[in-house]
Amino acid sequence: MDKSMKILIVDDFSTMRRIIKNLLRELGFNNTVEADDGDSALPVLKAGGIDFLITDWNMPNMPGIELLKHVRADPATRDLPVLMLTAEASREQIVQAAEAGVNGYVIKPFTAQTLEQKISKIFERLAMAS
Amino acid sequence: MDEELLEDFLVEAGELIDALDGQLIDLESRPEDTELLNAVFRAFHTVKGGAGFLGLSPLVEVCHDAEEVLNALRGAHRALDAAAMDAILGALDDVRRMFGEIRAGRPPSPATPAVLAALRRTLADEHAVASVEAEFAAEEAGARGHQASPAARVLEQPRQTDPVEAAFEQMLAASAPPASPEAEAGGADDLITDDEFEDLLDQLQAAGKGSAATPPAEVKPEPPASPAPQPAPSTARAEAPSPTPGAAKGASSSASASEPVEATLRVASARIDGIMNQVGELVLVRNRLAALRARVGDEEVQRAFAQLNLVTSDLQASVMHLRMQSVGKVFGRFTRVVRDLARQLDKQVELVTEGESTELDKGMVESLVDPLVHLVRNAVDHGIESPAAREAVGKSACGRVTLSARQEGSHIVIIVADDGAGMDPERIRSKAIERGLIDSRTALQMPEEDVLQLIFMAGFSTRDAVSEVSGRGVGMDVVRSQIARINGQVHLQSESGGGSRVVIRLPLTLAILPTLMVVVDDRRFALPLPVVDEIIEFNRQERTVLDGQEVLSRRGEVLPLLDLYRWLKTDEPAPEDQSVVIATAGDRRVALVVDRLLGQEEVVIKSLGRRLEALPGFAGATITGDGDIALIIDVASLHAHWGALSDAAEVSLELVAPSVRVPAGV
Repeated sequence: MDKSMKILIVDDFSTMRRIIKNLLRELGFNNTVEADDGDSALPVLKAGGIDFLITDWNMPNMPGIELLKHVRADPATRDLPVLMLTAEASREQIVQAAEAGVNGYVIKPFTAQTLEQKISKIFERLAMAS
Repeated sequence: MDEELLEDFLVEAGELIDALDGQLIDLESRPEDTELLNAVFRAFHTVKGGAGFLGLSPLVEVCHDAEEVLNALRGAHRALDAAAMDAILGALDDVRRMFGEIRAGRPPSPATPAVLAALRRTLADEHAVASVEAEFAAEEAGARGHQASPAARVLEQPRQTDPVEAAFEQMLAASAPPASPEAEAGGADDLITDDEFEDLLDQLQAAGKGSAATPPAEVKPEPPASPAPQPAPSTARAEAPSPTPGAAKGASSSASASEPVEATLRVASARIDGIMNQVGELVLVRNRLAALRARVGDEEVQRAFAQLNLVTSDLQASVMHLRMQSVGKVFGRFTRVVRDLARQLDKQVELVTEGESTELDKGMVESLVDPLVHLVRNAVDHGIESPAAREAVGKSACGRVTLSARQEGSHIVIIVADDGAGMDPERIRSKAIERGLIDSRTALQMPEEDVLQLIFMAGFSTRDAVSEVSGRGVGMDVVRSQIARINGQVHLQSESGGGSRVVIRLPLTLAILPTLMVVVDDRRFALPLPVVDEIIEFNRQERTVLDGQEVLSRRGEVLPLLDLYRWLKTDEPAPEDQSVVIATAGDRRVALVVDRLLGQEEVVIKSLGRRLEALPGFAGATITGDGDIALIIDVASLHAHWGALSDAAEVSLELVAPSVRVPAGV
């Protein structure tokens, strides 16, 4: 896992973006960019160079699940690993996200360790699949 | 946790909380507005999310329960009733209380049990409704002869999802092959474990789905051409420490290249106050330079000064503008105040707000809250009649309270108006005479307009007056003094049967005060110009003693006499040719004796610092154009404390006059 990978954090609540950025920094991931919902994340993704996407589910304008679907629909980003932030592990929601192509989910609140585990898991699976 | 993070959370979440009152009241009148319901849900959800990370568990608990109720409302298509609204508003109040505690540096105390109980009760009701509906739907399906499959039943149940998500669900149901077994077996409350998720990914991968799978055909790769109905609120929030803020900002502006993106920068208000202070210092230096300029004949120096003068004024205006806040922030709270009170009094009242975007100095916006709450409550409680009484006089059952703001030159005018019963000047007149606030001869000569203003006098308001003069006058003296404290004036207009209007006039800013500079005992003092009514020559013959207090009789009016010279120098004889400044102190006029008048000067108010702040009689200090310090007199406080002050004159003189130093950076 490359600690210098560029991570896009999408959340409408700037305090939450800071929290996640701080946790990532704690883990050694210093290369982060932010967007405040799906609508503003898409152009960032389109511009390229993003290696990992962390997005909240519940956002105005374009919720995380819609963003995920757009990511998977675009050939340029269809292989981008996506970690979804949710408030609870509702089976219905997670299944929906899995079917839309999510790579992992993490329930708020979480610690840096949990976040690290989730990210590692995603890369393990990607390595296995290829 | 990181203090700065907590600070950010309080500010950002605080904005969401502030918006909620208004949104909830709107929601009550437009329960079918799913966008609004989602926004309200999201606000609680977001606050909960942040609180979770910050370890604020009582906040998490109450937000969670409120969120559950709102979620149930999103699913069960049923009007939001008053009980549910009360429960959610109760939760909001609890959240606000916790915010207060956190702001004060304490951990939030546990959620109020009654609030949680009300939420859970509402939730139980909602569940009952939802499950009855589901059963009914299932029975109906059975009766039609279609045996509903378990999957179909799941889909028939009211969904607890966003409309977008619901639409996607339907799309999945219509086009996609049956989802994984877990999806069908599980209800909405069913939780998934990590292992199950891994298994699910395995299955999806085996089936060639999941990550990097063929996208569902329906999804458009491009974002919708026309963005969301509301303008994306300040899309790019500039955040200083972000490694590549430019990238995010640039990207989001390219998202909607046609409309300019307004970047918003959050700054702690203390920092702006700091800048304001420094600008204040600059203005003082500028004023000093202006005074010295006359000594220099050099034209180039004059030109440079003129430029400095201009730039300073511009800078001052810009910084002042930073401190401006729209009154809409305050107005937003009143929908709630009006709703709760109307409900409590069994009245129908609608609140109309106008000019919410009018801007005022931040400090003033905060100081306006209390008096406005008072006035709006008065309007609903005593102005607006009961629905029956209104209909009896041919008005609509629903009363109207209007809250409006507008700028008039260098003033802001705020009006609280109602279309209620109005006030009877004759009753106010007789009441004022009865209470001994005014003698009957003066009262009878007074024009009606002036009679109305009598309700602002202390002592007018009594419980008795509540019933007799449609309750106005309750604490109106307090309203008046609160408005006076921010250098504002308040005026009442009323039409018997046609409602009342309270008009508040405020200066644009509190930072700069127009004053009348006076000299007493060779010391300079500044009197706030808004309270100065009149300047006259001091005629010692007009001075008499009444009830042990010195007064000045003037055109039949008896004014308490505040001799500033005697206050500062008890023993020495007063100089000749003194002047009298007649000023308004709260609800009455007083006569201030001063040695000399210097003229008008706009001053920048400096606080006296913590140690001298509570000193009665002074509102602060300022530095004059020639570099001297002048104390700013608070006439109302001076009058209120006059007895004690003149007795202890030497003590206060010791404390204040010789040793005053304006603390740097206050």
